[in-house]
Amino acid sequence: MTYSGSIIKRRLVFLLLICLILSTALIGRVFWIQFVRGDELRQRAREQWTRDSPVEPKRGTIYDRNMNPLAISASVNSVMASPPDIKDVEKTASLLSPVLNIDKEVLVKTLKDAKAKKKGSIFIKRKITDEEAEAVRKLNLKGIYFTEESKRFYPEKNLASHVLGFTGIDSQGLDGIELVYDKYLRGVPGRIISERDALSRELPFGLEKYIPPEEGLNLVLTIDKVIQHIAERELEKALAEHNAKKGTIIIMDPKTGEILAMANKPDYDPNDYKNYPSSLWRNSAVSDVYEPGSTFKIVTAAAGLEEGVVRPDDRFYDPGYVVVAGVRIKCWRAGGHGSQTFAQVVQNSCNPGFVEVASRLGKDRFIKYIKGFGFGEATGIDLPGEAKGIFNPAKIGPVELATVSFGQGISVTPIQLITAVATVANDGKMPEPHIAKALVGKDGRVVYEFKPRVVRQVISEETAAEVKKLLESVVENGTGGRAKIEGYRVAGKTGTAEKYADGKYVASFVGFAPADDPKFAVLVVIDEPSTGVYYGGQIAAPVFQKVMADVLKYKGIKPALQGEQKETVKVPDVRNLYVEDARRILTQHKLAVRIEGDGFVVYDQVPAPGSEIRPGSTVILKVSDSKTDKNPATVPDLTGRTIREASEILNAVGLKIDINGSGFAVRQNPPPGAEVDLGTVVKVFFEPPTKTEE
Amino acid sequence: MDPKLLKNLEYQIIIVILLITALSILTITSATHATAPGGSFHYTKMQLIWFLLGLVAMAVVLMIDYHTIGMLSNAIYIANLVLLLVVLFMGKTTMGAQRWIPIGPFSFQPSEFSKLAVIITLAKHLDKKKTINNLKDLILVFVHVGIPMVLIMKQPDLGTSLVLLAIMFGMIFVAGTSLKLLLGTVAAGVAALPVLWQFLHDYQRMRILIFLNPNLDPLGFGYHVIQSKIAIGSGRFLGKGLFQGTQNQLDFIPEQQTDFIFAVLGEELGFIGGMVLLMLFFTLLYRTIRIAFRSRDILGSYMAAGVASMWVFQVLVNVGMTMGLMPVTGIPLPFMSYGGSSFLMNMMAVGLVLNIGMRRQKILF
Repeated sequence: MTYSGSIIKRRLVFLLLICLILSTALIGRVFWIQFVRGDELRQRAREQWTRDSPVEPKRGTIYDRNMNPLAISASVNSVMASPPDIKDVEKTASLLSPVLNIDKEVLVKTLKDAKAKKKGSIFIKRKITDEEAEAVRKLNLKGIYFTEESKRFYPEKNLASHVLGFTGIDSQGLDGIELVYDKYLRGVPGRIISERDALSRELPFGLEKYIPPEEGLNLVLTIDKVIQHIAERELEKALAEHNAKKGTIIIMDPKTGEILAMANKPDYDPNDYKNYPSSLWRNSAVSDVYEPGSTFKIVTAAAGLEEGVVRPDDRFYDPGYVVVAGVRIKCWRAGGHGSQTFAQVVQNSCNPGFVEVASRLGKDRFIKYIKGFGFGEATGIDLPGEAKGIFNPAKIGPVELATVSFGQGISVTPIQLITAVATVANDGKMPEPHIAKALVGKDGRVVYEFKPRVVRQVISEETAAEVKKLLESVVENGTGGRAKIEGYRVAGKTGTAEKYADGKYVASFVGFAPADDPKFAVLVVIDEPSTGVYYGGQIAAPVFQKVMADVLKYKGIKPALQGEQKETVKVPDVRNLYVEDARRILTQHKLAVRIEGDGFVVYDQVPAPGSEIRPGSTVILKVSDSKTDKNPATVPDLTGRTIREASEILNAVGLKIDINGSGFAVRQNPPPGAEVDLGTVVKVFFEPPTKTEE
Repeated sequence: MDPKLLKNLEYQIIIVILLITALSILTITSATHATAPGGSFHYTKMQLIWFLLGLVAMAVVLMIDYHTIGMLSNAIYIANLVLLLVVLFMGKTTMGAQRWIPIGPFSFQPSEFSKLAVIITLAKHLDKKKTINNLKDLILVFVHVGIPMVLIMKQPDLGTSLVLLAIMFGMIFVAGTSLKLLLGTVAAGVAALPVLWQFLHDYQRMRILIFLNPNLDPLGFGYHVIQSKIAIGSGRFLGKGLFQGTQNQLDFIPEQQTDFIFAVLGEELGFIGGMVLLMLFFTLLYRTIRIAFRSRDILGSYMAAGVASMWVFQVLVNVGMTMGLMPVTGIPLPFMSYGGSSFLMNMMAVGLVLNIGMRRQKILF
């Protein structure tokens, strides 16, 4: 070695070091790519060399409780293309475009893009009609093929739409039951995997694998199609009659919490949900809150009786108002109800009486029962978007305590309210409301059964029995008279709440029957009726009556009171009354009705008023909607009528009206029953109602 | 040649070369779908032939004393230039570059051999100069390497000219050139980059841009690197097994038997395969540098150092390229990539290294 030997050796060591560092770095990089990024790159590799075509599973059917299908899936074709197999893109596109009604340019671009990106398969048009499929099949194009997908059909159209919800293009549940039970209904997609090379050609020796899809489970609901239909029909009629904004009816089996019907109107057709405003998709029965008004007095009464602060025969005195913390709270009836028992307080729906009960309970105990009945928290029903209602115990002062006692200053969902009432009907045990009954396999085998569940015992069985008795008397003798059903024991409570907007009301009625063995609990909520009448007892109670009567009949529940009275009844005077009112009064007297003529006012009756006949006999009502020539005319009783009703009635019997004031008729001159000449002017005095309650 | 010299033969190097070549033959067989239905063993057979010819070439180089080779320096230098000029004017054009001279059924790639030529002649040049300590000496070295480099760039073959540059830097570094001078050269080179950029072909510029951002053109220029990374990454620890790599078998890996052979290895033999190969290369480099260290004179040290510089640069750039660490340049992986000229040249380089190692001691008569 020469002079520079040592520096050469140093540099060589250095060179070796560089080699070592670089080798290590490269090994490190291999490690990084294979382990840190390995999964991702492996996935990308798999995506490249396989064409993976999903095979959609058949979505499970949704049935009502009697196995009537409410949502079914049928196979439909979707057109797919395998871009590498299409030689002449322009020609293929120009043939397909008219048949599938797709713009040719768009199609050409789609196919070219897919070719450039070496995609193995793409959708051309999904879920086409049979006619379209046939036309495409006839073209017999290379690289164009079909794949089977399933499309959702709702054979009953709008029926129970808010319960069922709907599905999207990939058959995924988007709303309602379809969303909540999506993972069971959906099934497991299958797939066809085939190997492709870098040019996306199918390989002659490539493997092809078919993994069959697993069908979704069928779902049986607690809904009864017939009962649902009854609810929707009556709700629709009531909304039209009272020109109301919207309405809700829920029918529940109080013993199990099973929802037999849940109807909101207006609604939508889930087959075509996209063409309805999304606001109509909302299930008001669980998602919207309202002030319950007097229906909430059930909770107050139950709490008071359970805690022993009040007995049904305790005496109350109502001067027409009550002063709480300096605030004067009026009773709905001007002048008050005077001296009455607590039972009468409930029958009359007297506000000061309930304020007294709430004050005897005190804030803490009252809140305990409000929470106990489930207000302020979701009921846990298996539907999406359930609201909790608005009840904030922290904001309850003496005035709020008083107003909440008659259902103001608290907001609830319809499902909360009916669950609370079902609790009373179910001997104080709160049922968990639910809408799914069972999951059933393809072979009809029950895979899972949704068992009824009791959330908690809210009040004792004895208290529940007392509340039931009180609610029965509300229908028998109180504000809920129009909910009466001949032969059955019906319990219920009316409710009317004024909305914060001027002159807008929510009329409701909640009740159950038969009162001694409750089989059905029904809640009727009519939002913003706009024809002048708005009391729950006037609007919601008749709807309840019709729904409940039909349901009892449909389910074959025998009348309990039949043949109880053998003696004769005195025929009441129903002349000059609305046909419906006359019919109701006669029905209450256990008389049958036959109507002769056309119209809405009774101008004569056979047998005459006062006759003694056997119960069940028929009374013939002669009706007319035009002037009668009966002279002299009898002046009808107009008390409680609206201006429109009063003028219609007077017109029908050939009398004229002189309107004084506005609201409801309170006095009239000449008095009812007077015989006057045709054309006589009757002076009628109207007064606005007190806004709190009936 | 005295048979006693064989006593000193570094047989470890030969074992390493045999192992790398074995991996090469397996990988090329897989990369060319030799085992697939309808496949042919053409490339496998050819690579085996190159290997056998390579052994012969190695033996020939081994037998001629490297001092004698050094004395032929001028002739080698001129022959190299002549061949490069021939290829430039009469060469066969393949894939846009004029790199080959056809000889019968084969094509001969002079630029491969010019690497070895530069190593030999520059070693001799440096040996005569003893050391490089001023700018004038340095410029002379640049001219010495620059002439063949420019000719190769003309083909165009950027990769090989860069290898020449790496050989040059490796050798003048070992020759003890002051770090100040070396760093100054590097700084000047960096400063000249914008000018050099102007001389690059469009596709070369694109490759550098793609290296900086492979997703610039994923189906065009960036395709190579992305596909290569996917292949290696999907190999994981043990790989998908020989002949089982989907990315290789389905032709997603570009140039899979030549420039991107490492991607095939990484996919099919996984981390283990890649690591074993890199460790074999390191062993080869270690043994080569050890020979340079123990050489009886500086001519041998320079030659061995030149060979080591060439290999380390080629391994770094090729393997780095398949994993997105280096821009795509057509630099083959020594002993692994398919190709006769490259294989022969590398075997001759092994012969030269063994030659130096074998003659490290004065022969005792």
